[in-house]
Parts: sequence; structure tokens; C-alpha cells
Amino acid sequence: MLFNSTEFLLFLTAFVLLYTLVRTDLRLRNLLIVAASYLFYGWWDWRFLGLLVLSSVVDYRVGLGLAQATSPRQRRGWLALTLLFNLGLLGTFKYFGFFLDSFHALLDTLGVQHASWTWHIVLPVGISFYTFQSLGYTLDVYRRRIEPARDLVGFLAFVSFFPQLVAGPIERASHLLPQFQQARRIRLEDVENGFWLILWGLFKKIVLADQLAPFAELAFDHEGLSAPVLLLGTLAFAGQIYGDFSGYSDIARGVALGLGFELMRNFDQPYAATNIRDFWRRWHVSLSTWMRDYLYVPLGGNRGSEARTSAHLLITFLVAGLWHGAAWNFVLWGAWHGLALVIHRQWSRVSPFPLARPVAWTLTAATVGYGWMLFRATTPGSLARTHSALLNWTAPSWLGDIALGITPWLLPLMLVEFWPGQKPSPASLSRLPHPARGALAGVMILAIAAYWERDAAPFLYFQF
Amino acid sequence: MPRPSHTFEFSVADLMRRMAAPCLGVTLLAAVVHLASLGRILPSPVPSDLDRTILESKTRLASRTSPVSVLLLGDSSCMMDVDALELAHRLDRPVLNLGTLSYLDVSAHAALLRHTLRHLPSPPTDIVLLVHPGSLLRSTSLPDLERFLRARLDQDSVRARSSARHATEALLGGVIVREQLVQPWIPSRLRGEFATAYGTTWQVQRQLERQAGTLLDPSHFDPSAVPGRYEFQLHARLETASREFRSAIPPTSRFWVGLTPLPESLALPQHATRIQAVLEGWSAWLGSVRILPTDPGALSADASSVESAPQGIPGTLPDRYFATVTHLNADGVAHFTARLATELLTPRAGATLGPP
Repeated sequence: MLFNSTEFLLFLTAFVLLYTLVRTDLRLRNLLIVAASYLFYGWWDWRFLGLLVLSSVVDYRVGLGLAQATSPRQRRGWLALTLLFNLGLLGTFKYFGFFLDSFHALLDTLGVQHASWTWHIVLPVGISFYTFQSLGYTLDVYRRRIEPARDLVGFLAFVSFFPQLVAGPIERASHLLPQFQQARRIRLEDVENGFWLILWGLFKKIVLADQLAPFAELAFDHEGLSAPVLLLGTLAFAGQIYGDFSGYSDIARGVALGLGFELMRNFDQPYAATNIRDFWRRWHVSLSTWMRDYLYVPLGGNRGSEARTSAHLLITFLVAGLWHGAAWNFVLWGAWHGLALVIHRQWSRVSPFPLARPVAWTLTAATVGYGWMLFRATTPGSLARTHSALLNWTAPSWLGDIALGITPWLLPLMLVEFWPGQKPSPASLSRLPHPARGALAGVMILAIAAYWERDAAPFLYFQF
Repeated sequence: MPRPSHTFEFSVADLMRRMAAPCLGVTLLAAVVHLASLGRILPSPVPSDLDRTILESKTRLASRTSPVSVLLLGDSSCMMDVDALELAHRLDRPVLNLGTLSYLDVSAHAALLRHTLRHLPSPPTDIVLLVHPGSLLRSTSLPDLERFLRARLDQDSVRARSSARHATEALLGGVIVREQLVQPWIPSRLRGEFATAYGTTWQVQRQLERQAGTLLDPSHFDPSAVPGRYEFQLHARLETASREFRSAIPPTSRFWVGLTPLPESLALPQHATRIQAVLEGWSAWLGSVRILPTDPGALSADASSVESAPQGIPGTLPDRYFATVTHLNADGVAHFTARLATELLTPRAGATLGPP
């Protein structure tokens, strides 16, 4: 079920009505959340519900097993089980076909005769998100950072909570799980802030990202285009992916807030970053902190030589790239960001002076932009086309049209991104005078209605 | 003993008060949008797709008041197979190509013709109806496109808008916002090979203006992707529309009718003869009309040289001249335009059918 669909609006309305009826029983409330979340997920393909339930139950049992384990060896056994199970799940459903194809390609390159067998597996939507969230829980229990959940229904609700089930934010158990174990107080401000978050999220997705998407397609999905078109296409894609993904996160946070739950902020004006490290503090925060805490730090982090730290950074970002999708362009994208972080780290160590802010911003934007080119060029053919287009600087006569076509959709995003002073937030919108709030809501709702379910595109991060 | 789950720390009245401003804002803005539309103070609806962009441009071209000596009408093969500027150069007379889409029938072409004649200072000397043989099978237009064309001709901005897809879109004026408030100021990206060649809808409009109504199809023809060969016949419903078209022809204009070519590999044996028979059948409904004869030798002729080519317009051309099954590429357009010019310059005896 897509947030930008009429089914979801009906589903949410029905859910809220039921939610108001189960105020006196926490277990019943969690049961309702689980049932609704499974309906939400099963709407896409009910066959994969089993996978979600299995993943939750296994990690719930691992948590209890870790609590009951009496020796480090037993604990390591439970740890091995959760790692094997969760990574095995991802490996099977997300990466098996990719590795098999790559292996075949390698054998072909080496001229080795081989039987060609393929295994077409449908990628279950959101598997990378809920697997990481659930795995994060067992790792935290293993490290004794949190107590294991002892209420199965509450734990199922934590793993499957529908607002963030299929595209995050990837919540930490220490933050979200207790919210299912406590009574929630829903204040009027929460509902109003949730309303503004949902509205702004839908606006970013439906009005901005989906209108930028055709211009990104124009640059990346056609042959014979040139560097100026590609640069504008990359700009469009940078806006599209930000509007799309942060739009989803905002809707998720808004819906959760209205139900009395607080989800983490996933984006913090990422395009205003002035270095690549800063960018990763602001972009997809729930993934970057997950990678930091559960991969980079356990690898050794920055405890050790510079060479080892650089290697840890590269490995972490290669995995982050692969997390996004089973394709070489995502690996390249991860490697590119890892490399940029290594260079930035070394520059920060040896540079006698900081770069001027505009220069630093431009360098960061160029690095992130080139990364988006790698990210968007999903096939080897597209990757090759993209790079050969960079050598062709002839501008088609309609280049100005493209610039004009993307500007109105990019402008609102950039305005919020580079808002001077205190950044705009739902709370600040709630404080606006009535006429201003009315006008703002009116404009956004009319624009959403104008583009609602017209070429409704799924959220980009659903595929991950 | 159940544990409390959640509490709402506000009443429904609090919520209503707080949400009143956004609700009022939406209601007022939607009302303003609808009133502005009804008061016809908004720009005309601007489409975002290629088909309606072409129709919009054609209605604009059809409202021109500069003299036109040769007026071309027909489906997309007329628009894309004949270079109006090159034809004008060869005939030394102003030419306007108002060929539109295969999704429109002859009745819609007649509506465009009537509109054009109302705006021209004098009737054209020659009016040429040129369609692909496949269009003869079309009994009616696609309703949405015909409604759009007729609404544009009538300058009716309400009818020219797309239909709302759902009640909320209709209630909030979503279509008005999109087509009359946003799209007039922002070009829309095209799809497929048209995107690579033209980029946006605005470029298509400019191209149609510059080329007197001609638009080159940038596609690349792959005969292997087309299953089977074509056989054509007249649809019985074409009779009424044909008579309607004929009635719109001014008495002082010469009226020509012809069929655009087919790729050689897709034509049945004796294609030219069959097509000639179809044309003659059609001319019975079109009344007094000069047939642009289909060249029977074209199938085997070396079409690279216009001078050496046989007389008549080609019923088929080698596959290399095609962009799609129905449209020629640049070389094909140059060749076909030259052949058409030759035919229009030297009408042969016997080419006219029906009462003089």
C-alpha cells in the first residue's frame, strides 16, 4: 500500500477510528497495530507476510535466548543464529540472483564453460529496512544495551509498525520498542505537527519528486544525450530522490506522531552540507548511524592506524551501497562515498586551513552529484552512456526548456533546505497566524490534489 | 487487568478549532480556482502529453490569418511525411500542414478545415487530404482527443480540460490547477525517442510553428518488430464523415486525396493496385476529388532518385525510408515531399473523379 494512494487514506481513516476505541488496553492496541501493519504489508503481496512474521519471531526468540544464556559461548551461538538468519534472508531474497549473475559473468570473462542457471526471486518490499531494524535489536541485546522484549505482541508491533515498515526510518529498539510497552499521551500539538509533516511529505513526493522524475528519466534513460542535459538530469534526480525519500520519512513520522509515537528524524537539510562527512550526518540518518554503530565501530572504527580507519570506512560504505540494491552501480556509489570520506578525513588532518564555505559546499555538492549519477545509472549500459555523455558538451536547443521545467519543482525544496536562520519545522508552521496556515495548507492540498494518483510512482526506496 | 494504552489530551472541539484554518484555506482557494475558471480569466488549458500538444499547436496554426495556397489535412502520416516548407519551396506557394493524429477521423479533419477556412483571407487553391491506409479502417476518433480538438477550436477552456480522475480532484479543481495554472508556465518532458529529439512539449510547439505544421518522427524503424502484413479496406462509417469533409471544401479550391506509403516489407503483393481500388472507392464518397495516384512501380523502383521515379505518389517505399510503420524518416520525407510536389504541379488527365 502506497502512502500516496487512496487506499492508504481509507486504511488510515479506518485505523484511526479503531485506534480511538482501544484506549484502555495496551495489549489490544499493540494487537491492532500488528494486524493493521500486516494488512498494510500484505496489501502488496500477502505471501511475504510469512517472512516478516518469521523474521520477527526468530529475533524475539534470539532476544530471550540471549537473556537466558549462561555462558559466552551460548551467547555467541544466539548471535550467530541471528546474523545467519537475518543476513541469510537478505542474501537469499536480495543478493542471490546478483551474485549468481556476477559469477556467471566472471566465468564467461574467463572463458570457462558452465551451466547457466538462474533463480528469479521477487524482492520482498522493505526487507532491508525491517531486517536491519530487527537485527539491530538482537545486536543491542547481545551487547547488553537493552533488555530483551518479553511481550511478543509489542515486539511484533515494533518490527512491523506500518508507518515505517517498508522504507524506514530504521528505528533503534532502545528508542521505539519502549514506546510499545508504555501508554502514550497524544497531545493536540502532536496531531497538528503530524498533520503538517504528512502534508509536507505528500507535497514533496507527489508534487515535487514525481514532477522531477521525468526530467531525470530524460537524462538517464535515453541514448545520445550530452553533458549539459545529464547535469540537469542529475540535478533533477538529486531533487527527486530527496523529495521522494524524505517525503516518505516525513509522512511516516507524521502518521506515527498522530498515533502518539515518535520516530527519529531521517534527514536534516542534507544538501546544505559543506563536507561529505557532514552530508552523511544529515542524509538517511537512521541508516548511516546504523552502519556506524553495527558495522564501522565493530570493525574497529577509527581506533587504529589511518590505513585501517580508511579500510573500515571503505568497507562500511561498500556495504551501505550494496544495502541499497543488488547491482554494481550501488557498489560503485558506496565506494565513491567511502573514497570521498577517506579523502576528506586525510584532508582534514593535513590541511593547514579550512576551505572557504562556498568552495567546500560546491565540492560537496559535486561529490554528492556524481554519486547520484552512479546511483541512477542502474544498468551497465546506462552507466557507460552516462560517462560517454560527460565528454559531449553540445547543448540541445531545448536545454533551456529542461532548466525551466525542473526549476519550479526544485525551488521549494531548496528554499526549505537553505532557509536562513532557524529551519522550518512542523512546530514552527503550527505557530503561524491562522490566515498564513490556512493559505499554506490550501496551496499544498490543492497542488497534491492536482497531481494525486497521476502516474503515481512508488517511493524509490521501496526497492531497497 | 488491562494496562491503559493511550490518551488523547484534547477534545474533538479543540481539534476542530485547530484544523479550522487549513480547512477554510483549502475551501476558499478551491472556490477561487473554480470561480476564476468559470469567469474565464485563467489561461487556456495546456496539455502535458505529445498528442494534445500537437492538437493544440494545430488549432493555433489553423487560426492563422496569413494566406495559404496549399492546405494539407489528414492524420499523423500527413503531418510527419510531408515537409511543408520544402513543398512550399518546390511549388513556390505558401503551404500549411494541418495533419494531426491517426486517432482522429475524417470528421475531425473536417472540423479543422472549416475552422481554418474561417480564418484564411481567401480559400486555398489546393486542399490535400492525405492519410495512411490504416486510417481508412478507423470508424471514429478517440473521444477525449476529439473533444479536446473541438473545444480548442471553439476556444472553450472548460471542455478542453482533461476529465478529473476522482471526485476530490474535481471538487478541489485539481485539473484547473494543473492545466491552467501550472502547465502554461512549465514545459513537460516528452517520452521515448521524441524526448531525445525534442526534449519537451514546448520544443514540439516551436517546431510545428517553424515548419508550417510538419513534425519529423525521430524513431528508428525495426521491421522485425512488426508482426504480419497489412491489408486495408474502407470502413463503412467513413462515408458520412467523407461527405461532411467534402461539403467543407470551397468551390474554388481543388480537392486532392491520397494515401501515404507503407514499408515495402509490410506490403502485400499488388499493394498499389489494391490501394488504388480503395482510393477510387473512397472518392465516390468524397465527391469531386483529384486522386493522387498510387505509383504501382514504387515497390520495385529505386526510390533514391525523384527524377527517375515513376509518376504518382509512392504506395510503398523501401524500409530504410521509415521511422515507424506509419511515418517516414528525414530521407523518406524529402523523397515523398518531392514526389507530392511533382504530382501537384502536373495533375494528369483522368485523375479527377466525380462531377467537375
